[in-house]
Amino acid sequence: MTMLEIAGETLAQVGSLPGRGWRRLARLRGESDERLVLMLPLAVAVGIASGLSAVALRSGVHEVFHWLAGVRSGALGIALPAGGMVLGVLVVRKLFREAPGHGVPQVIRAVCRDGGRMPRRSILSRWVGSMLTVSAGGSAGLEAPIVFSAGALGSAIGGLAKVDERRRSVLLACGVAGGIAGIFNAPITGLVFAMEVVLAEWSALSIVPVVLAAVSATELSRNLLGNAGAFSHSSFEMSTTDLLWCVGLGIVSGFVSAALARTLRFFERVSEKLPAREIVAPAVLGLGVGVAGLVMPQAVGEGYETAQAAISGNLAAGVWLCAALALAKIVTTGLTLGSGAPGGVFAPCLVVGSVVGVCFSRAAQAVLPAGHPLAHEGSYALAGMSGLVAGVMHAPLTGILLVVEVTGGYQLILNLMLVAVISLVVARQFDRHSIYTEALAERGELLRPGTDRRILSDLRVHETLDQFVDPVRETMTLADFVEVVKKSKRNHFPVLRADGVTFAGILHLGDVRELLFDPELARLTLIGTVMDANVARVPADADLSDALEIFERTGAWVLPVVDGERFAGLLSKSTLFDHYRRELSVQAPG
Amino acid sequence: MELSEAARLLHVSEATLQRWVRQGLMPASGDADDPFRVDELRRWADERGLPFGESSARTPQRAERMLSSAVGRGAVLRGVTAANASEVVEHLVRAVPDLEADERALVLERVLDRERLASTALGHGVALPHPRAPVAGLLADPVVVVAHLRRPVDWAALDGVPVHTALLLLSPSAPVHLQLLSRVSHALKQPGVDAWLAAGTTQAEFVERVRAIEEASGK
Repeated sequence: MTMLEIAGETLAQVGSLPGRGWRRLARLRGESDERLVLMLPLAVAVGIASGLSAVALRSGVHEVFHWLAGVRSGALGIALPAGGMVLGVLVVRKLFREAPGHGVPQVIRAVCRDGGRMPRRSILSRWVGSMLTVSAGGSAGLEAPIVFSAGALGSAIGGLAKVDERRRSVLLACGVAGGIAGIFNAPITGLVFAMEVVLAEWSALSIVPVVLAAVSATELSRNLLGNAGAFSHSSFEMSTTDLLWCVGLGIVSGFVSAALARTLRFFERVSEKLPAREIVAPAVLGLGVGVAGLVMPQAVGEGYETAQAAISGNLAAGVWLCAALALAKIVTTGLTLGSGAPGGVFAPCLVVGSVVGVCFSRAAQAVLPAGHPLAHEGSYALAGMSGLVAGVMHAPLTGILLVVEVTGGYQLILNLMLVAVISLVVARQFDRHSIYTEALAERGELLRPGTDRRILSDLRVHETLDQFVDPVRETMTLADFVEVVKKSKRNHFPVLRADGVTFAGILHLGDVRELLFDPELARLTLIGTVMDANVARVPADADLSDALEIFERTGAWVLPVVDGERFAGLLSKSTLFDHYRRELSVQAPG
Repeated sequence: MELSEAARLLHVSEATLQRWVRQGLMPASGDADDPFRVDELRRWADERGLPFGESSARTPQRAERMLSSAVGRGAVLRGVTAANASEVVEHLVRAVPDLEADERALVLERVLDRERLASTALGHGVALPHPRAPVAGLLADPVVVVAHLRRPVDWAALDGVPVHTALLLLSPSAPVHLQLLSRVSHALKQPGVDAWLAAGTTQAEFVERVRAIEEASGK
């Protein structure tokens, strides 16, 4: 049976998803597992779809890149990256009307804030855009675009199957895992990246479908492209001395990671300042890439040939030339991605990491006395790759396992682990958040499932309103108010204007208690005169963290909630706590 | 910085602070007598969005001799001739010191507005005209202007007694207005005050007698 037939059959199964067979099977397994079982065919469908998308993107770029080889070596070669980047940006910004950048933050945001929903156009936008950018020589990877496209695929399939938001987020993560797994022939990397970076939630409900998607996508990729790792290498042996040298490589990788992240950010800011940035930024920065490519051809394009050369020990350059190549690759990556062209940092991380590893190994060998050979420099190249992925993405597991998988080797695991974590520690000294999460964190949108901040921002103020309040009018006298107090158990009374809907202020029983017992004064005092008209108001669409901030700032126990000028209800600290606890039990059971 | 001081600045109990240190949630030196540095603590609190520093929550301050001072800042008018409550209010507002012309017009409008809603007559021949809502921004402290009328006027009082003395109450805010009302109520309930007001007073007499009342009651 061919892969396509398998795919067709699986999709047909998904079509008959609500069928009795599944339900009965599910019931046998107990009610709580029913929905998990229903997720499995969907996960396989998402895995196959995302795997296909990844394979098509990889092969497409490969073909076009080689097809353009003639142009690249010709007179127009210098302008080729600019052309591809302008087209890529125009496709994403104008044709599909999406935000610039590599797209991973939008995928994380979809999980954090939008219940796993991504627009359907996202399935194609960066897929097409990155094909144009990377095949024309832009220094970027295809992994972020495939994460974006395949995530949107998963989300779309979840939407068709009408699953709830949590499951839709899991299916989105299935797409991410399938995309990464398919493009790298690396199922564990796909799984780990989806869990570590996108979902940030480790539970059976999420792991099981994501594993299935990664398996389906990888098997499909192997059937279509063959079962070769992205990189090949001979067997490496590393000694304890090499392991100790890896501490140094980890530190260097951390600094280089921070430099790469900073360079990217620098060019992002530059292109934000340019006029008509959709065209001018990729044209100008793309020309920079073209010039850099003229001087150093290895610094343009996806660059896996360069990484392969580094691993094989064929990087024909001395220590200083290697350092210059790493630097050039960092700059071309910054230029490409900073311009808003669609593409990711995955591939640049691997290329820069491999070159940095070789460079480090050669420098170390140079200072060592003769007769103390280090391991093959290719092994340092692999360790450097782990270090850069971990340091730039703040994703150590992804960094370690990606290299293990794409090289098909387990021998270097200790070195990879060491370099990845040290690089992460060093990189974190410079930036608390990765390039994926910093923009979200700045806007307060990095809200991981089950965390306190997520719960506070999921709960909207209007959900927690105390509806059973006794509003009074501002023209009521305190003498009449006594009658209201007699029938009420409350201490805070919202005061409305004469129209009966507009909020005027709040009356604290404690403030007027003394006057209430003085009938003569109570008769001549209006509520509007003695209410607190300057009380802080909570907008009805605020979330609980906003509300808590207002409580904190004002020291109040009860605050009015307003919808524009209309009174919507009262919010008290104590009911807020009750709602928070209930939400916590629902979102983070156990 | 000592533990107790740090706990106060972070607005938590010392027990909470000790637990945070024990759980490794906050930076602390091993020195038990001086575990925290203020700049470190402030940065730690800022990073987590925790309030840090002296409490900004307002503490209600009990102003000493509030009513007597308010009359001292205002005026006492004697032998005022007026045909009705509105005319009395006009006399009173005109006597408020240190107001610009437009501010005076605004106060007059607010006080008359309040009278139109319901009478401010207290009973026993006393009325307490005041603006419908506190006049924010005009006054830093409450001001009271007293008018003794040559001939009592009808003020639609519940007990039907015509008003011989009117006290215009102006406060900068609702809480101050509440305190002022409570002082007025307390002062007017003292034995002999009704007759004393009916006979008429000067500003000096008024301030002195009310101050004596306020001091006697500890207010």
